[in-house]
Amino acid sequence: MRTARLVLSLLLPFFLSGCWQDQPINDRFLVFSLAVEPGRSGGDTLWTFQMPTPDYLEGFGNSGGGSSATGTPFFDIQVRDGTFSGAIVKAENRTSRDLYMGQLQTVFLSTDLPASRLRSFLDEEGRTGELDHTEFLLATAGSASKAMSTKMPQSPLPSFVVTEHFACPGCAEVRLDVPVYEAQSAVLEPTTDLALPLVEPSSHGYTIARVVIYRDLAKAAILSAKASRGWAWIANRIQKEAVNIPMGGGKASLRGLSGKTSYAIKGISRGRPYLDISIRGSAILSGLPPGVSRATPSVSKAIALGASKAVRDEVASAITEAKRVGSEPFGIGTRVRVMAPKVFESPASWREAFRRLPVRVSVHVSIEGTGSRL
Amino acid sequence: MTGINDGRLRELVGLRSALGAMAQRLAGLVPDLRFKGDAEQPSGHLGMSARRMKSGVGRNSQTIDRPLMIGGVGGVPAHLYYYDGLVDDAQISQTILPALLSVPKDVLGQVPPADRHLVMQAAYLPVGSVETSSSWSSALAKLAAGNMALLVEGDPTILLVDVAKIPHRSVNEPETEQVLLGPREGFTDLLFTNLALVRRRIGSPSLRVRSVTRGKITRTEVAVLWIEGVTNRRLVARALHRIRRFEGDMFLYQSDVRTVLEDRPKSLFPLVRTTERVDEVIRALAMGKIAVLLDGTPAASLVPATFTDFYQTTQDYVSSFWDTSLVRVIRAIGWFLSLYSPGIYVALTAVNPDLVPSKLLLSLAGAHEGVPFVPLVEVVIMFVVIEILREAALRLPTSLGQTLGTVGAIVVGEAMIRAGIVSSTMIIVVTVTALATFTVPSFEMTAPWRILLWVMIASAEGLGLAGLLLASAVLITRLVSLTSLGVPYMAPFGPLRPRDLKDSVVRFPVEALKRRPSSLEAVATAKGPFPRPDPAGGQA
Repeated sequence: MRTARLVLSLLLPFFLSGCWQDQPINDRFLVFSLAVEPGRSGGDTLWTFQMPTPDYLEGFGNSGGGSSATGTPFFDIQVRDGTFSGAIVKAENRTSRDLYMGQLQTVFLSTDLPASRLRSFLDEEGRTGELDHTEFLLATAGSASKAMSTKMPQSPLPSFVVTEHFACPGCAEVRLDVPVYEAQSAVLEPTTDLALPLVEPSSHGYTIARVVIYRDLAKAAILSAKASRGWAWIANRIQKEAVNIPMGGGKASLRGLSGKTSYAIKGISRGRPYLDISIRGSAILSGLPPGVSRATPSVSKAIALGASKAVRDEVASAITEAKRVGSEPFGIGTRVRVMAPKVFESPASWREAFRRLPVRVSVHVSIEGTGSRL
Repeated sequence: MTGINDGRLRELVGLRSALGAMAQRLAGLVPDLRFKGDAEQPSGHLGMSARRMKSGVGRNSQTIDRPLMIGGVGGVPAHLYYYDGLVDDAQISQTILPALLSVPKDVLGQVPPADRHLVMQAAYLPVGSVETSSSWSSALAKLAAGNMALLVEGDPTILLVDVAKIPHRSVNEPETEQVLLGPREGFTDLLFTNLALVRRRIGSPSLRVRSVTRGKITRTEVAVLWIEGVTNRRLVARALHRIRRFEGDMFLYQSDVRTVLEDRPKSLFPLVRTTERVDEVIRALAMGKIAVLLDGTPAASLVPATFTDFYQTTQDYVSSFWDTSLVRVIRAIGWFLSLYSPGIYVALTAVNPDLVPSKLLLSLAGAHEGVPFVPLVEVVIMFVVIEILREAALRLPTSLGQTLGTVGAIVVGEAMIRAGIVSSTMIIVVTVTALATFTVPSFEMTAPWRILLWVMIASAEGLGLAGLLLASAVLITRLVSLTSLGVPYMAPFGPLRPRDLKDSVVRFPVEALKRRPSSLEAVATAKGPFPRPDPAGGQA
C-alpha cells in the first residue's frame, strides 16, 4: 500500500502537468515556420503554417540527410482567425494530421500587424506548452507568407537558412537574432521597445541586414543599415564587424571589429544629466589605403581614429532615428534607471526622457594586429 | 459348517498358518535389511553385512559385488564392492586383488577378527588412501564417490579404498571469459581438481577450505574458501551459516549456491558473482572475498559481490591502466546505450520531439513515413525478433548460431524495412542496443538489463524523458538498497567511498591500489604479502 501511494505520488505531477502527451511524429505535420499578417477583413489575422511535405520527409529520412530528397519540400496552410490557438485548430481541421508546433523555428511578422494582434500572439505563444519559445522572430515589410516561402539556394526549407544563420553566434558580423522569449520579455519591460530583424528580398532569396524598431509594439521605423549597426553596437550585438574607412583617396579596412558598450548617466550633480555611451573595441587591420605600404604606428593610429569615428557615426545615427520616432529599442532604460533612480522615477516616462536626454558617444577602437599577425 | 467343503477349509487353515510363519520370518529379516543410517553399524557377520550393503545400494546394475577369499583358497571370506565406471578397474584387478589373494593365511589368523582391517590397512592394500568406517551411511557415500568397500568376515569395520577414476573434462579456458595475454585456466566439473587449481596458485598456507555436504539426495560437496587473516571472519561465518541452512534434496548448480548466499534471492540483480576463471577466484580471495566451489560445476561463486565486480574482468588487470580505463568507460557507455537507447528513441519520437534537433527530427520523421506502427510497436516487434534470434542461436551449434545471428540480423532487418514494418532508424537503434548488451562482461548481469529495457521502454512511452528519469530514479534507489552478504551492493558509489573509486569506472595504476576495498571490511586492509596463518586455524 505504501509503495502504491509512493508510485502514485511520483506519477501525479506528470499526469497533472500533461507531460504524457504521446503522438508519434509520423502522425503529425511538423510546423517549421509561421507567418503572421493582417487579414483582409478588419479583425482577422492571416496565419500561414509551413511544414515539410510527407514525400520530402520520406526522401530526407531514406537518404540520410536529404541529399536525395525530392518533390516539393514544403507546403503552406493558410487560415484566418483572431487568435493563435484558433488558427492552429482551424489548420488542423484542414489537414489529415495534427500540427506539431514544438519544432517551430521562425515566425515572420508583417510590419503592418497591429500592435494589439502582435501582443495577442506573443501572449498566446507564451502560454502554449508545446512550443519551446526559442523560435526566431523576423519582420517583413511586404507579405509575410511570401517572405516565408522565398526559395533559398542554401536549403529547400527556408527556415533552416535563418536558424543556421542565427544558431551560430560567432558566424555573423552582427547578431540580429531575436528569439521569441526575448521579444516577450521586451514587451513586459516598460522601458524597452521591440526591435526585430527585417527580411528583405534579394537576388539570392532574402537578406537580413536591417532592423525594424517598434514603439508600443507598433512599427516605428525601419532603421538604415548604418543605424542598424549602431543599434547592434548599443545592444552589444556586434561580434566581428568589417569596416572600411575612407583615407587618402581610397579605403583602409579593418576586420574582426568587436567591443563592449557601457552606459552611464553623468552630469546629475550639475543638474544637466546626459547619457554617456562608451564603446571600447578592437580590430585587426586587413587593408591599407592606397599609397601606404606599411602599417606604421601613425598609420595605425589614423586608421583606428577613422574606425572610432565610423562606429560613433553608426551609433549616433541609431540614436537619432530612435529618438525621432520616440522608440527606445536599445534596452538602456532598465540599467539607467538603476543608476539614477531619482532622475528617472517613473518607468513610463523613460521613453520621453530618453527622447530629451542628451547623449554623448565616445568610441575607442584599437588595432590589435594585422591580417598577417593574429 | 453346512455347505462348506471340508477339504477347502483345511487347505485355507493350513495356508493361514504358513503365512503367519512367513510373516514372522520376514519381521525378523527387516532389521537386517532396513538401512538405518549412522545409527546402525556393521556387525562383523559377512553374510548379514553383504545383505545390508545390497539393501543400501539397492537394485543397481552399476554396483559390482566381488566375493573373494583373502589369502586364497582356505583364507578369510570377504566382499569387494564398487561402482563400475567410477573406479580404476586396472588398479583393482592388477594391484589390489593380487595383493589380497596373496596375504599369508596365518597372518589374519593371528589377530582377532575385529582387528583384521588394521592388518589389511597397514600391510596389504598398496593404495595411497585407505579409510575405515563403522557407519553404513558414510561407507555408502564414499562408495558413491568412487571408493572401493572391503567387507571382511568377522570384522565390523569397513575398509574404504580410494580407487576413484571419475571421468572429467580437462582444464580448459572458459569460453565466456576469454582473455588476451592472461591465464587460461578454467575450472572443471570436479571439486578436488578445482581446489587443486586454486591451491596451486595460492602458495600461502593462509588459504582455508571448509567442506560441507548439502542436498539430501545429491549429497553434493560444497567447498568454502577464504584467506585467513584477510577475509573478515563475520563474512565467512555468514556464508557458512547460509550454506548449512540449506535442507533441500538437491544442491546441484551454482544457482543453488547463489540462492542460499544472496541477501535477497528474489532480486533482479545478481548478488553473487560467478566465474569459471581460476585467476578471478584468486584475485577475489586476495581482496578479502569468499569463494564457494561446488562439486560437479565448473564455476565458483564469489561473495560479497558489488555492482562494479560485474564490470571488471581479468583483461582489466592484464592490460595497462590506460587501456583498462578506456575500456571501462566504453563499457559504461555500452551499458547506457543498452538500457536507454530504445527508451530514448520512443520518448523522442512519440512524446518529446521538441527536444530533437530539427534536422535529426526530419530524418526520424522521414524514416517513419509509411511505417504503419507507432514507435512503441516497432520497438516491441524488433526486440521480440532479437530475443528469438538470441534464443535460437543458443540452441544451435556455435558456427551455425553465429551464422543465424548475422543472417537474421541483416536479412530480417532489411526485409522489415522494405516491407515498411519498421523504420531504418529503428534498425539502427536495435542493432546498437543489441551490440551494447554484449559489452557487459558478466553473463549474469545481462539478464537484468534485458528485462529493465522493457521497463524503460514502457516508461518512455508513458511519460517520455520524464518517465525515463523516473524509472532511473526508482532503479537507482533499488540498487543502493541492495547488499551482498551485508556489503553495500553499490559500493564504492553508494555509500560513497572515494578511496575505492580508484578501481571502479577507471582503473588507477597498480601502485595506487594499495588498499583492499573498504566495503569488504577486510582484516588486512593493505594489500601485500599474505599474513601469517592464525594458529587457531581457520575456525569460522
